Amino acid sequence: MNNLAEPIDMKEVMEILDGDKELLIECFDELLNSMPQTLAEIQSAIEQGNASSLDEAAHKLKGSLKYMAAGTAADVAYQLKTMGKEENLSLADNIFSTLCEECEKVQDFMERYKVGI
Amino acid sequence: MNISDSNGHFPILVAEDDPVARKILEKTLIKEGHEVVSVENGRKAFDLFKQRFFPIILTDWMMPEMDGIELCRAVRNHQASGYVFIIILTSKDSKDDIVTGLNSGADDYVNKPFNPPELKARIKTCMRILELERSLKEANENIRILSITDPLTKSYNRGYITECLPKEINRAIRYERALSLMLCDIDHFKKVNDTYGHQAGDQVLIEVVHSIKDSIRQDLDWTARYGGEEFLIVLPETGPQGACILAERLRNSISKYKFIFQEKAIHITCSFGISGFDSVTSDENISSESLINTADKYLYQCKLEGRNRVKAGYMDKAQSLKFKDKLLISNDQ
Ligand SMILES: [Mg+2]
Repeated sequence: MNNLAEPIDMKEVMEILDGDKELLIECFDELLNSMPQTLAEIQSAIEQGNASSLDEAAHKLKGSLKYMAAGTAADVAYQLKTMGKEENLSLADNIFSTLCEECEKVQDFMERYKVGI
Repeated sequence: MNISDSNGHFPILVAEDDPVARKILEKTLIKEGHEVVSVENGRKAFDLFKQRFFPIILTDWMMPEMDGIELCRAVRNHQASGYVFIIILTSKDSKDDIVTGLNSGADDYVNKPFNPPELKARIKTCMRILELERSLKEANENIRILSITDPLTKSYNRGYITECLPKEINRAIRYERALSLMLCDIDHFKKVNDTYGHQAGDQVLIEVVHSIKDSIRQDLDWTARYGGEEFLIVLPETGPQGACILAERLRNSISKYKFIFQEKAIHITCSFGISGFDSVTSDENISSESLINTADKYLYQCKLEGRNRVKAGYMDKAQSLKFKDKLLISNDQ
């Protein structure tokens, strides 16, 4: 079953982009392109127990997701950022799985949008 | 200096590590007509800024290498050619840090994700301030020019001599270069005023300055009104011999020139006293006063010997750094 709420709030993102559809596609491409690497950075920071790297990488991802009005995914990224900032990574593994799931939804949404579904 | 384009837009330097945010910033600002250069951290922004002046910097806070706060401080500590308006982008969750941002030198902040109309409005505010700075600078520059200009002849005035002659002398001594000074005085100028009136005298003064300006090098030499009908001409990179040749040429052309005032032809002549050196290694005995006094002494000699002539003294480093007479052309008509 699909979630009722879409992972990206299109109304909000179009407001942020001032209604520029071409820019929206460019941003989707940018995010599709950078997300795997940022997720990999987050994962390796958690594996190495490097709190400040986690803070930085999760902060960056949270930023991109916020601009794309991907509220749920951004919130999860923010949780990880906070863990990094507070240097408490005990639950980071779990949250990272949730982040991956949410990011996948965002990715799917962007891919679908691009091919016009 | 005008840093904005013809439509009043200013170039903007953007520092943002998040590629999505960077793209949106770039496009939003370009659509508004600005020239935008964007980089992914504060370090790159500052390196670029050192090479090229940007009046507006829009910077993210958290970035690798150099963050927004460090960038603000670096820009504020850097001698820039004008005011730099810095806007810092902050996440809502770091609102407590706004004070830190402003204290480190940012002028304004915008919350992320920004709202385009708000960002545009903030940029407009900043353009108003930069525009104000530009007009103040222009007014200041006009006042500065007025303060060093003789209102009648538009040559420099004595204030400029006091300000700049010591610098010319220091430079010549430091680099062991030549320097000459020339005092040019209009002979029997009182007669011009008495015979043709003060307006005629004023016109003669203006035209003499034109002749002087026409015969000196625009970007190197300069002339200032030293007294009523007396002008100082400063010739860097020119020794007394060269100064004498120039003075002789000027003397000759002025003596042949017909000043026309209310259809009457006025003839005048000038006397020239010169002082200077080809190169000196010590600053002993060399000052604005000593050089001017020496030029004045030779000018006085010209007057004694019948005016309309050139006389010079020079300093020789092989000698005891005292002014010696320069045997020179001392022409009569
Ligand atoms: Mg950042």
